[in-house]
Amino acid sequence: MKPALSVVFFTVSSGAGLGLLIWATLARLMQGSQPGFGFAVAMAGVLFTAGLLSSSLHLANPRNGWRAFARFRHSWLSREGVFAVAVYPVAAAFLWADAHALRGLALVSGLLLVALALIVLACTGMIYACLKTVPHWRNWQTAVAYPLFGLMSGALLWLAAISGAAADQALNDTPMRQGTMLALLLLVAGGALKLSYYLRFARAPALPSLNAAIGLPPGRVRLLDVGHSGRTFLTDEFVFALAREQARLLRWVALGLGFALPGLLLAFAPRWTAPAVASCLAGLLVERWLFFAEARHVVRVYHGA
Amino acid sequence: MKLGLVVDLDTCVGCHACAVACKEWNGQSLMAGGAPDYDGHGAAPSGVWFNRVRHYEFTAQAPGPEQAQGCGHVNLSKTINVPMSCMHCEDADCVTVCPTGASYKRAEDGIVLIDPEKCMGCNYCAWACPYGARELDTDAGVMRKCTLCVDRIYDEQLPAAERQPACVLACPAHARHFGDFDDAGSLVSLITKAREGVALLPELDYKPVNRYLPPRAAPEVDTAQADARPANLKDRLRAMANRLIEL
Amino acid sequence: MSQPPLTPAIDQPIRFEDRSRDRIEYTTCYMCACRCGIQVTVQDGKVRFIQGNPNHPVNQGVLCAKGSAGIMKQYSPAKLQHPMIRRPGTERGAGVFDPISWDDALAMLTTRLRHIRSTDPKRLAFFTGRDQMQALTGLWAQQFGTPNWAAHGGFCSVNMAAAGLYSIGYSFWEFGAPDWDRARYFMLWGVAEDHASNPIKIGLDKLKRNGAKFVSVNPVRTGYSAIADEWVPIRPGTDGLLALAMVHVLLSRELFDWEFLVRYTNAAWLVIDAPGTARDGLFLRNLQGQPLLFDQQAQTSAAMAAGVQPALFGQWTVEDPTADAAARASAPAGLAGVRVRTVMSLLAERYLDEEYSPAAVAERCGVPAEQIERLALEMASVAFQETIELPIAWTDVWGREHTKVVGRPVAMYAMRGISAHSNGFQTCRALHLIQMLLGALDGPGNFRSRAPFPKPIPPHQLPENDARVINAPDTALPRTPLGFPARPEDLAIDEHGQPLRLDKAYSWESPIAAHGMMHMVIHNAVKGDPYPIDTLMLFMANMAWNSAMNTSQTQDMLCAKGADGAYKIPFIVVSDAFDSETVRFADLVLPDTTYLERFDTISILDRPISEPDTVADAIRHPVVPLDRDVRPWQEVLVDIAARLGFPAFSDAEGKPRYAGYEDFIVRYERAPGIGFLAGWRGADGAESLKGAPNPNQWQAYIDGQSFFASHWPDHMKFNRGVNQAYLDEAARVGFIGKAEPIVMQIWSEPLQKFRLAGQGLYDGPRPTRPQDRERLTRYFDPLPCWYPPLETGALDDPDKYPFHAITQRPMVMYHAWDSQNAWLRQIVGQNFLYMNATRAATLGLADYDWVWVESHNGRIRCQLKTMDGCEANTVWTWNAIGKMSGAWGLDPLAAEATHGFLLNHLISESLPRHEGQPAITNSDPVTGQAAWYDVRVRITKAAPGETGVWPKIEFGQLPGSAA
Repeated sequence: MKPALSVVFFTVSSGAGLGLLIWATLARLMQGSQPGFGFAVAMAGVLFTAGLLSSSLHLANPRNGWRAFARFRHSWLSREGVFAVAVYPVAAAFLWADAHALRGLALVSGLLLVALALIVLACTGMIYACLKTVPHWRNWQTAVAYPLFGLMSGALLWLAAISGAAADQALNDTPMRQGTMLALLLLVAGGALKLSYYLRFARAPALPSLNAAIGLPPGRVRLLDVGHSGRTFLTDEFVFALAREQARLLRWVALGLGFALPGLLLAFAPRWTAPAVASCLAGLLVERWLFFAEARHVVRVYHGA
Repeated sequence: MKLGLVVDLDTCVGCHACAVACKEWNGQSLMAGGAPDYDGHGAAPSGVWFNRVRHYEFTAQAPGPEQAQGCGHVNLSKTINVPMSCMHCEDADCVTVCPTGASYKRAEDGIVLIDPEKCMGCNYCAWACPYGARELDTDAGVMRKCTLCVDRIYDEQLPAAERQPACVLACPAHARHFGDFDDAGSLVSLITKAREGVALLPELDYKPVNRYLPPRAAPEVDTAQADARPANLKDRLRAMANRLIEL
Repeated sequence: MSQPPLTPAIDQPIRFEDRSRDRIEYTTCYMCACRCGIQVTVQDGKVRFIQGNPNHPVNQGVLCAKGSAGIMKQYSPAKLQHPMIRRPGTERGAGVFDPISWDDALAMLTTRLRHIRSTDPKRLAFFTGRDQMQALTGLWAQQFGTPNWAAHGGFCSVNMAAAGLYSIGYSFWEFGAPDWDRARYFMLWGVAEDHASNPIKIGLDKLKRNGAKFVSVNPVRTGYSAIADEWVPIRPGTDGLLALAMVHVLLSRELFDWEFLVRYTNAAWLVIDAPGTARDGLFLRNLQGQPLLFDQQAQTSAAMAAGVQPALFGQWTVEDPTADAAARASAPAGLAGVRVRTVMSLLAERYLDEEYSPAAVAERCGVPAEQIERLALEMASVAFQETIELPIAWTDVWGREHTKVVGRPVAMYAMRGISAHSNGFQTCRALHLIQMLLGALDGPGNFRSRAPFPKPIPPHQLPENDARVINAPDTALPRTPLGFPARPEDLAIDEHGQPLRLDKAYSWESPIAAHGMMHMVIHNAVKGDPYPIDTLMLFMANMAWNSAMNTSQTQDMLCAKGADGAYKIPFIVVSDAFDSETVRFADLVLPDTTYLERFDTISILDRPISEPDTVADAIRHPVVPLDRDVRPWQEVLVDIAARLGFPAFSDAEGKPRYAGYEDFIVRYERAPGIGFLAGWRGADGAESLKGAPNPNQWQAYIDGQSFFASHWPDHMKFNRGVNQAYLDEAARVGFIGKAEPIVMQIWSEPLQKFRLAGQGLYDGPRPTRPQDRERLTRYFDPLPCWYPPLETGALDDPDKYPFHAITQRPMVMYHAWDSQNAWLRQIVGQNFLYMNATRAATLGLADYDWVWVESHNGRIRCQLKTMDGCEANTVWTWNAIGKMSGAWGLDPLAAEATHGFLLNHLISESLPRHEGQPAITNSDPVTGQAAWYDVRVRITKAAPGETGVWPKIEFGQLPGSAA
């Protein structure tokens, strides 16, 4: 599947932004005032919005983009859009309530905001997990990955925000410590999930055989001619294939940069949040790119691939 | 109504008449909205096609004693030509996943269409389609696909016999048929039943409406009578008695 | 996943086209030799939609990809815009042209032609390619006075046409068609997309629905062969062996139709057995010239007549009717008669020999013996156990009144895979022999004739061969340039035996070259052998590219100059609608219209579109306005004919007789009442086939959806060669000269006469060169025979070139000119060389490898692909996909130029030979058919880095300098 760079960037950036928003909101509600909160919220807003804008770059006809809310009842993509847009007013309400010290409203809107953000992340995962045409995505790992990686990268960003804001604070400050533990936990969980996804690949449900795809009786079927001499939309989008060795290398890069290195940095050099964040985001970009690049769409079978 | 096509893999010679007739009709169809070409006379021509014919080689397994000689059973190796276009599925995921509602399925006859006024060109529907029925028109930024020639089949300005999809009218080997699968007495229903027509990738649960008729088994010619005389020596020529045949 | 939402139609109303802007026109497609009727929807002067005309007899509403892509043909950027002249000072082939007005162009051309005509008319060579207007162009050449005219048949498939016309009176090609509705067994030999494209598709579907068995003999399993019930992967060039082995099987089991053979063929005719004499192998004839049979009743020889009971087998010594009394008296006792044998006896003796047994041929043709035997027995079973009887009363030429028509429902069709070999003529005759033995011709369920055929065997039309008339200035030829020689006297040679025609057709080298030999024209003109010419006129013939053997050398030859620095072919005129490779080699370009912009005739006098049950012809008329300075070529020909004062085109005062092409078609009569168009004749338009010119004929056709069709009554539909009512009608309307029986010829006396000439025995002209004597003796077998393709025999070491290299047309393209179609080139924009997958593996070759393909004549580099359905010793590719860079309005980097390739570079117009040996044309020795499927090649993997097609030929760069 041809990875669309705008979508790759969108899911990582918006995911991180939402995750950051979730941790910032929860921390605000549970731990009270925290230096770096404002910065975190602003960064979350930028990441989330940049991601959304990027995703619209993927549209071939963006002037109809506003219509994407029409099929909320049926389409995960529509749902994602609706809930994503809903994040803004709810976030605004929370921030306003928080700024005016309206505890009740802040609590309600804050929890609502967290729920919304999680839902958005879940919808993103479901966009891919619901497709019967890509067997590699038909698993719980795909559905859980987006929320998990969003929370994970968000937690790292939250750590960076509060440690940056309180550079002279002691390392064993509770919020820092809790944050570090949380981030480490999420990195381990994330890494485990991704690893399990890759391992599943080897046993992944095979694409239907060409024989089955054409409905023929037992026998061997091979492609003679695909019916066109050059490229088509379908070959561009779906027959893009990554070489096995390239994929293997990139998996290690994704796992290393996205999960292992940040984890190591947090464990042994907890002050180095910025490199940890950079590594994690870079690794997630690679992971996301691979997610698309390694996926095999059923229509490839008809192309003899 | 459940409108759709039957494609006969037994007689499709892979001539692409259906693909080109479709391109020709829909290039200027108000419902399809066009099927553009890019770099048509250039170094890398490509374009949007709603119907593509693909060619495969099938090598049969050696038939075992238990394999029945049913109507749909192929026991010989062949080249199979497979035209593929939208199956107008009953459970069309391409409609379900579309966020804008541009992709829609008609209630009355099940035809799946795209409203280019609403499409935002996100490609999601193409991801949901296992048959490759949808292609992106990069000029307009919208998806295009087979309309089952909805603007032909209901057009009362056309003579009744021409109210058929362009591909069905064109097919020289009469390997395409159009009709209502909800009507058990329609041609498409009858031939699907008689020839044991199959859906493609039924296990994906899209419930595609189009049916493909498998290659027929080869007719058997009984040579017993002709073979009754043993092969002759040249000498028998001399013994051949002339028959009396009058001019 | 939930069910999708459903949208009521009312929420999304259908947008229909506004048909008030539509104009529906009917005309005829032009993409292939099918000539389907099309219905063109025109909106605001532009083509909106092209579909098949449901009322048309040929295609009955369907239309193939080529026809449906007509819009892109009409709006192609490769269309020529105006006449052009090569800029003085530039080189031919560089493609540098200046515009020139029609007036100036025609004035210049007419002046030149007038000069040629008044000095040495044969110095004009006029050859046409993919067109179908031979009746007009042939007439024009005849009126000009040059014999050097032909269409492309000699390059294409004359073997099929000739074999049928010399055997059964009609042929595979366009003079017959299978009876799709009633055939119970159908065998297709060597046919990919070819003549009668849509009718074959329509027909195969009918056959399969009716449960008939369809067997395809073809080295490649695509297209029609893909849907065959049984695919027989034959080794190219060996179909004749397969056919004759089947004949062996039929004979050995006595599975032949006695009555059919006795009544409708010359199987019972008596052949003189007198080796070493001038009459050996000729028919015994009475004083009236009628061939004789042996009447079992009277126990003596007799002519075919009612009541005679011919013996099918036997040999006798009978009285010689043509010997005079003195000769009889002086003959030694006991030898007072002539020894004769029936044709049937001769053929049975020949084919019952073990050398024709399935076991003996199996390995050479690649078909197992048991399969050969089974196929023959299947045909016989169907023929004799599933016989059809139609309750139709008809009367045969012997006066017998039949109450029914008997059909042995086995049908065949064959084309290029048989034709394009140097043994194609005899192979095709072998196929006709099978059908004759089975009684499976022109009856229900058979391969049947199409009007205006059957004709006498061979047709009574001789090529012009009078040297004085040919050389006479300003003189029209009494005879047509092309015809059907029946004996050595009919050859077009001078008193020294030298060819009179530029292409050497109808010479000892190619005696029965019924369609000319286009592929030799450029070579011979440049060599000045037999003589140099002044002007070469080409119409729709891409002879600088795919319609040539040995393409790069052909291009060199077009540009060849003599020692004086002048071109060896002084002047080249090219007419075409599109910017083909050949256009670049012209000195004068006369652009043609497209098929939607012109009047045209698809005439019975030409290549008919009749069906077996229907006599038909058709027209084209302009359906879109002309938007550029081009003229229909026929219009130009009629114009030049008038300017030059051709007798048929001028009146008594020498003024133009016709106002133009349309007027010519309506008022020209080849014979009284017989014109180009058969429908709506007579002053009132009420007559068909024969009648006075009707000034409103064009409009009648246009009103009639551009075609005329008349259905034969039942009693005239079958066994036409011996059907009295049919023959009477055929004579009345000028299909044939006289209502005489057309008896199918198993033994060909014309061939025997040529053989006698080769043996030095013929009482008339004889060849003097040893190679001609040898060829006539060897190949002019009066019975169908098989010999290995000539290239194989001429190679020192055939095993050095183990593969047969052949081509076929993809169904989306018919001629070179489809590659410039923006839609069609997306489907096939480049070609690969296909090889059997198993065989490729043994050679270490895989898909997409670049390989060198080498023949005795040259080498090319291209990309390989493998497939299962390919005979193990065969490699093949699509025809005419490869293009010269920059031609056809395509980008110079188009895949057609960078990855597409032609096999033609590998094929020589001469057979392989050693230094000093005479050059022998690489053609069928009987008909001169170009033998481009004979080529043998060797395949080797290219070295790493050697990628891209080679040679890559670009305009302005002579082929020899290709990198």
